[in-house]
Amino acid sequence: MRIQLNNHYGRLRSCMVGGLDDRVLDSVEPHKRKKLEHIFAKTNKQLDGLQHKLESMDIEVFRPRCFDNSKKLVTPFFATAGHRVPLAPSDHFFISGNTIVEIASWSRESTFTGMHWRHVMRSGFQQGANWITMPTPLHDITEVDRLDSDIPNIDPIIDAPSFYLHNDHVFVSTVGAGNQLGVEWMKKQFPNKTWVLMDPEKFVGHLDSHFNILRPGLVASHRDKSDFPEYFKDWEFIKVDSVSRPSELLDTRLQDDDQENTVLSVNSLSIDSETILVERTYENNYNNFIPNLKKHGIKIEYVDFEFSHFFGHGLGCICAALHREDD
Amino acid sequence: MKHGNNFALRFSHTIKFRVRHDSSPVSVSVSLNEKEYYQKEFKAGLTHDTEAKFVATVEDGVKNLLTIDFKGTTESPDRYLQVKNISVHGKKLNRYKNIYDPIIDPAWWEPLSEQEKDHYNDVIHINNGAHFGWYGRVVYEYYSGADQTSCYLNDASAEDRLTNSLAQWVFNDGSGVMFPWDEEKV
Repeated sequence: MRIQLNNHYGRLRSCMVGGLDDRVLDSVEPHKRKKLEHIFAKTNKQLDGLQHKLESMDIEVFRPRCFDNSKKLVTPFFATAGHRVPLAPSDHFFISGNTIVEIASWSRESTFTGMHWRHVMRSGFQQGANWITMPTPLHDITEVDRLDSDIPNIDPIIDAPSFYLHNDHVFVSTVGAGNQLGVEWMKKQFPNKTWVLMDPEKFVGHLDSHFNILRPGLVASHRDKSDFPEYFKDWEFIKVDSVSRPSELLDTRLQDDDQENTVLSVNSLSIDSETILVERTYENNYNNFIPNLKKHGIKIEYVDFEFSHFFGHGLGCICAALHREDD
Repeated sequence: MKHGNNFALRFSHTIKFRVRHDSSPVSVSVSLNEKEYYQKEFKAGLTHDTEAKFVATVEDGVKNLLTIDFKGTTESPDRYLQVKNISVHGKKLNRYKNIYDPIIDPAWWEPLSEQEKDHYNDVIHINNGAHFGWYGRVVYEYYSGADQTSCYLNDASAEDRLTNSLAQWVFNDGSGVMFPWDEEKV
């Protein structure tokens, strides 16, 4: 299986699609179980539907081989009640060119989550990919007196979507899901890239929920053009509606009060520079995003991922591209 | 954590809600971590808009369960509890992010088709709009902490991260510790 990725819009040839392992429900609190069982059951069906949709578009899909996520993990420095479900492969792997980087997450429960895709990494490696892993953080709380940022800057830590690859440039969010050492570590692995730090006041956390480059010169974002660095000064912007101030409650699956997690439509998945996969809920509930995509000649394909907001993941999180052809 | 702490956080809680039953009195009670702070009976035939307010001590770096019980004796389609707003220590909780455990008559539920059950499970668990037509229990969760540091050190959300079913953090910093002499203002 070939690993090759330079941007977010080259023709998609293969990707990972996330999964949920029901065994983790054995470790949740009893009052949450019924709700989570319902959400897991529906989401599993919809993930299968997403896989079929992608396969119908001639895209090879890889799914996680789930181990028992309720198994406890004990290290010399921390212990967890289990492992995070492998729903969002994009959180765990940063791919540039034919190099895969397994990242080190701020979440202790994510320490082993990337291993659900070990078969994919092995296959990519056998086909010539470069496969490296960030040092495992100790997560040793005895080393922390008081935080001066979201995440202690002791070991390199950063989620993969804190980086956004666009050919020879990598845009970087330095806050919310990583630390400064994580940024520095990654820069050393790719010395030939141009690294662009995004405004830390505006671009907090995962960048793929802030903007999505649809093709050279065209970017979708709920943010204003003036928030972006000089690189984008001649670009066209497709405004993505923010539902952080809903005028009325249409559907709690779409809308919630949490402003930080309500622009997941940005996090759609480009099949190529003319086609985009969008969550079906947005089909009728958006004023700007869908019409603007159409106006720019982008063909839209809808898929179901109803609990996007519950999980805080968009299609770009639960689908991680492995191979895109260069345009 | 490294040095331990002696925090006892005093957080105010305000739950604004509407309650109604056309023909029979109902009651609403509110508990935090299984300790009841509010209980009231509501007359039949009226729509009541009211709020439950209380101040409670919560621990640093833990998850708290804010539980609302809606009780009555008579079934009716014209009966509901609607949560309009919840705030803890000045921070608004997402009222739609709840865990609803309704008391449902199995004689009604069991004959439903799988499609109907799926629909009602959506209504109950996902899309209830904080509008609860059955008697039962509604749970809101939040983590309490002194500040971001205690969030990291105590890691109250660790188990919820497994399933991505995270609640909100309410931090004490920014607005200061609530001393007993401040409580009358709540």
